Amino acid sequence: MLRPSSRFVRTLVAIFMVACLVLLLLVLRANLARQQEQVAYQMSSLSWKLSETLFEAQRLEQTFLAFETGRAGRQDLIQATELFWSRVEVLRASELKNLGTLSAITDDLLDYLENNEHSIYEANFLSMDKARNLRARIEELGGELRAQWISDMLGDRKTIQTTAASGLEQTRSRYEFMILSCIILLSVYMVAELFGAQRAHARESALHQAARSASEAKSAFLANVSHEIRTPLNGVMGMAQVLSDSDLQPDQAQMVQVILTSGETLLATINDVLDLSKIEAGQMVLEERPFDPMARLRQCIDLHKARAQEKTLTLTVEQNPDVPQWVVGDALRFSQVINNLISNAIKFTETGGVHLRVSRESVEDRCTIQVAVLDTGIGIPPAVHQEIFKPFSQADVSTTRLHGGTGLGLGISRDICRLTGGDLTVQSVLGQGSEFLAEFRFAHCRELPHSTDPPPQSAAESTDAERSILIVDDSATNRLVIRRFLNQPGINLVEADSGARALELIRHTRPDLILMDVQMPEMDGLEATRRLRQIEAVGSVRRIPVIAVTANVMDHQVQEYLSQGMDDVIGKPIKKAEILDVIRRYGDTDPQETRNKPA
Amino acid sequence: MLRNLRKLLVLLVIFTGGMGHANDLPVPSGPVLLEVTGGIAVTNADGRARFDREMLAGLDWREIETFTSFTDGPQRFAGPTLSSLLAAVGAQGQMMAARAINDYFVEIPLAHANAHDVLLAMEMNGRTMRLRDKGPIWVVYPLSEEEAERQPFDTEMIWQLNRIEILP
Repeated sequence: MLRPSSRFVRTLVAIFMVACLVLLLLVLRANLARQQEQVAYQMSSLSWKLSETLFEAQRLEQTFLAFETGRAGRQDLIQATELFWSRVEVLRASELKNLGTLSAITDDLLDYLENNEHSIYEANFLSMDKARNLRARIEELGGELRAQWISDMLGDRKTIQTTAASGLEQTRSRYEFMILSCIILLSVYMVAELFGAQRAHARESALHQAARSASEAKSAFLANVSHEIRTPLNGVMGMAQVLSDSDLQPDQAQMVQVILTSGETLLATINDVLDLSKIEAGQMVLEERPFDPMARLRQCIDLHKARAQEKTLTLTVEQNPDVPQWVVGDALRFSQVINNLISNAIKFTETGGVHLRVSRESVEDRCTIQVAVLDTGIGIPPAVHQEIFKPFSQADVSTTRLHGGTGLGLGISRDICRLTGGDLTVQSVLGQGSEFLAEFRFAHCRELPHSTDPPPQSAAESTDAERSILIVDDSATNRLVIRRFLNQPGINLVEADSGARALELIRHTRPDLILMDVQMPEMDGLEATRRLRQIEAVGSVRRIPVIAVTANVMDHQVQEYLSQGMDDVIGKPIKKAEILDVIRRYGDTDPQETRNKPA
Repeated sequence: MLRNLRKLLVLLVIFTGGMGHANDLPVPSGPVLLEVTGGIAVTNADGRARFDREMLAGLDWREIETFTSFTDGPQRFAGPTLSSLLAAVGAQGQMMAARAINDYFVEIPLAHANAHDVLLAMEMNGRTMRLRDKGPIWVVYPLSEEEAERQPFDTEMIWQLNRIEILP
């Protein structure tokens, strides 16, 4: 891909520039040190030249004096003058030529020497007077030179230093220029990177936003689809159930059974798809409520007993003594996983049987329950051990037709196990069988002697007195389905086709229980319930339990119904056993009855 | 007075020149410009080797064009090489103490003579160097313009040279 590599190149370039900068700085520092040395040398060199000149001036004066007193000859005078002259020349050639004040004096000195060269060197005779005059002049000029030097050196050292350093500026400014360019380039690079990063961030935000709204759109779509499918499915399943209860000839009964089974599979598929999308969106939330794991397990086994018998397979369970009576977690999801595993085990086993082994492990604070489901089935080749957990896959594609199923179950089961903190793993030998090990981590276990988890009773055991139940639904089909389910002695049914009509009927007939559809035109179920609760509060009358009957059973929707005053929720398509169970539970007209979780 | 004394000295040197060790080195006839002492094998005046202009001209005389840190632009110098002088006196040692007429002095490693082709310049741009021109002898290290700018041998390039002492 182009982008990462260009970033890599840019980073390399930046690092290279930093390295260059560091190098240049080091070179500049060395250069600077050298320059400082040189300036110091120049300064001392200038001082040296000047002091030598003054020294020779002194010696010349002394030689003049010696000549005047006869102790020195002409040759000595000439040599002394020559030496002095050479020092003046050296001084004149030095950097001091840039200093106006000192170079003026130097020029004066040279003038003096040139003017008097003839007298000192060549003239036949040099008189004492002349010598005295010459000496006086040298003394004067020497004094001037010294005075000027003192004033320049001590008073205005800066000028001297600049003079001394005049040749050294060039190299330094060259390096400084290079360093400046490097710094500018680096700054430009950093600013560009910052801008780039900002733009990338904005782009990322936009993408993130798009992804989120896409995800939200998907959830909304799924909720809609779920509702649209469940509602007519309610009609299909409902009628099929009613039909199966009526008098049928054997082949008719078989046909109806097929309709029922297909409907159940369809419902299971929709539920699975919704679960998967929930898990993918990270929206699956596990409940934390106490339940009896072994009781749940046995219920799951009961569900599959018939099927196992049909295939002449054994279905057994073994429980370790340390398995607790109570755990705190999500009973529904626990059952979902166990059911899935048992169903798969039975599906893929032709001879032998399925065995469950339940044990417990305490890891840190939490309570881990392990359920191993062993079967003597066709087994799973090691190569596809991971594949089977992926959506819509089975170990062998050809078996899909033979064994049926949505193919979503294992993935969802593993996700659920992992959500608790455990995992779902498999061990298998092709042709011999498989062992699925589901590990659930629950918040804690309790050993309570008393069961508060009510076992679901068969609805036929209801022995209540006559009750009046109000069915509110704008769809005649739905009302018919419920009517058929509740067609038994002890129940008086009243129907309303709208929220408004329902409120009217409530005023007149005072039902014991209301089954309220949520999705209705004009006044919907929620509004009707709200108004009912208001009336009850104002009039201080007994509260009538309102059960929402709806295809919208997503968590947040259920929460909304409950918060608006409804007491419970039944999902469409309605199962006969479910509705009878709810009716039995809300049979008491005690307004203080606590709400149970949705069935 | 001094001049007479000097003449006497010269005569003495000529007469006593045969005595002592050095036979290869003649005695100077003109004014002595350079006196070499110390670790030398060849002498012409009790332990010293004295040279006048003629004797120096008789050594390995070279003409060079070079830059110095004391001058502007290229200059021409002519004079004997330091190596030839050292060879003429049979110098044995590592260093030499060079002294000028005004008593300035500096120590120079003998190795420089060959390593840097040091010249005892006596003529500059065709003219004999007077004292004020840094003569009679200026120890010149030939340098390029860039080298001269760095001033590498400022202290060694002693001018108005008149004494050399060979040190071990």
